[in-house]
Amino acid sequence: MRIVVCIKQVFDRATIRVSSRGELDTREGERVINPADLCALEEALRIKDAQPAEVIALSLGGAEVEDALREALAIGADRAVLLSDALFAGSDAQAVAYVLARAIQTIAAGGQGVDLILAGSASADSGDGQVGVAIAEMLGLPQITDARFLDVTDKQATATQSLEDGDRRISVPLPAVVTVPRRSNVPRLAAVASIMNVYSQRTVEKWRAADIELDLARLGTAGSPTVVRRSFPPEPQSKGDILTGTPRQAATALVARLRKRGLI
Amino acid sequence: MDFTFSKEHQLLRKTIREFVRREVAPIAAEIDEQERVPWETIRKAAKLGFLGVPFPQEYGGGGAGEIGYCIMAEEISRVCSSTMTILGAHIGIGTMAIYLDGTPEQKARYLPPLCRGEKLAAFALTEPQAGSDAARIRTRAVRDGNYFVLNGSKIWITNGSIADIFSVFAVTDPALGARGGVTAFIVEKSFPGFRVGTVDEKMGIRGSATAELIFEDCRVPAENVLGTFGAGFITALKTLDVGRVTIGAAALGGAEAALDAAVAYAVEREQFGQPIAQKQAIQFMIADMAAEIEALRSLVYRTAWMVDTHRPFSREAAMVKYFGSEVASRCVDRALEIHGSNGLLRGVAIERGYRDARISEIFEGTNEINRIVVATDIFRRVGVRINP
Repeated sequence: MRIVVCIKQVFDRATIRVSSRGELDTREGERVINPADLCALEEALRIKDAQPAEVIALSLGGAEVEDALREALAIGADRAVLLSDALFAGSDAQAVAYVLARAIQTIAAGGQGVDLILAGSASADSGDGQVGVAIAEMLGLPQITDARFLDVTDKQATATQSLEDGDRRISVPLPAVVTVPRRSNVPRLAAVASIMNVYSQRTVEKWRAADIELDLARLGTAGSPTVVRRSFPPEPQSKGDILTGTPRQAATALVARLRKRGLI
Repeated sequence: MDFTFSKEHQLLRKTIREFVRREVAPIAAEIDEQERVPWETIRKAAKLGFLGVPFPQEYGGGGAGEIGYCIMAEEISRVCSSTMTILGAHIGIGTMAIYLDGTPEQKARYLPPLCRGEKLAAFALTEPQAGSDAARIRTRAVRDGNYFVLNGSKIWITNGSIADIFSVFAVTDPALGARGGVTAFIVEKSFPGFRVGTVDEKMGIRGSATAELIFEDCRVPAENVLGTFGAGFITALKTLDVGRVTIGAAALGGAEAALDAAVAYAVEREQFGQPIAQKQAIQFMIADMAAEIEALRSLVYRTAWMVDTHRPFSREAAMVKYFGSEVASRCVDRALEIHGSNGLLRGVAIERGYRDARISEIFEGTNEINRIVVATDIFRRVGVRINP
């Protein structure tokens, strides 16, 4: 089985600050693998624990993203591919998904196809939740979004989705795209020796736009319908009051307040 | 000059920090309270290769060197000194003695299971009448055919009651004393005549096991002479040199945790109508802690770099040990002061940090002995020999 795991490098939220004008201060920001993508990698490695599989970590970004892919290699990925090109600058979720989809097709053409594409449900920075979904659409593959308790056989992927009114368990035939939410598993950690060897003894393949046959009109800002009009920190919400006393007393006080405001 | 850590060491720190968050932090207070060895943590740490962090990969180690080992000591000690004490005794002195002076056969036999954490190691030098005066050890080893027969006892041995493999120092020629009369042995706990005596109850590092070891006609195969016959005292001193660097790194972690706790409390605690962080009395303590920590960090990692690049480092190792442990003690003291009476409460992190910090001024050579090591080296360079 061949599995591609899409990985995005993001800033660890705890290490960045937002100014009062809404500007991000990333000077002391630490770059990490997007938490949901680490969960996706963990799902891939669990499949590999149970059956022969090749796990390929795939990412798009600048040279600094190589560190995220090396971390994926140290954790257990077999191969890592970095898509990096000035032509990709300014790409939104749709343009990124296009490049990733083309890269996945290239990986598939270069070997025994690709059976499963895993990605985090959403990134911790932009949080669009669009890339995995768009890859599935562009490749014409079935998909399961926000998958928990993933179970993969040679022929199909089965997972549980949490919906507002309950859970449902669904199956899709392979090849398929499965997106995994953060905190859906506990990603394994890299062993010391793997970490110490990962820069000197492993390679990250670097692909440019020319390596994967792309329609240039679908790249970068030209291929990105998203326009960011304004960035701003969310309005602080009032803290709220905690009503104390017995449940009966609290309920009485609550109803009185709602009445006073004319809400009921 | 470049002070950045290698990419490998940065990823190692990140990984260890995540391990500490997941596995060490949740039970740190509990193992202290219950005086319990955190076996679950040790097993998980072993799987990731933490128990062989500095040693070459050919022996099953992580290949992260002294710098990697110091990173681990710093990160774990930020949260749990007990856990780091267990790992430190295992790696930094118990296994280190075999790594530094073991024969190729001994290294091939003992290092892989120790690096993988399948076995735990300890270092047994101190005796009731031979603490700082380590040359006065009395445990005797007498040759009997292909064996040595050991008689005597060791005290305050970290991991004493939980280790499988011990680096043990015994007198083989009383006439020669420390200069040629002490030999190191690799003793397995299953050797006949070896047993664990009293297990100590302690003020700090309570999750680590400190015990007395008793040797009664303990038979040790002659091939388990560690390194050169009669050169055991040199093995002990060489091993302690390396161990001391990591004591400094662990102290760095403890000091950083104290500063973090003090800052968090100073921001939250209000007196006279504002957070106490607004008071210069508090600010001065915080600034002094931060400056000392920064100095210690530089000394720790520069000395670790000296170890990894095979430079002489005995003097710096002694400095790291005593300076580091005293920085940590001052930091926990100031942090406790900032916490006021709240800092004395059981369950408040600084209360445990305060109790855990004190041992670092004592073990692996008291700070007084380490000052003498530094001064002896300084005077040696001007041709003056300091009498032991």
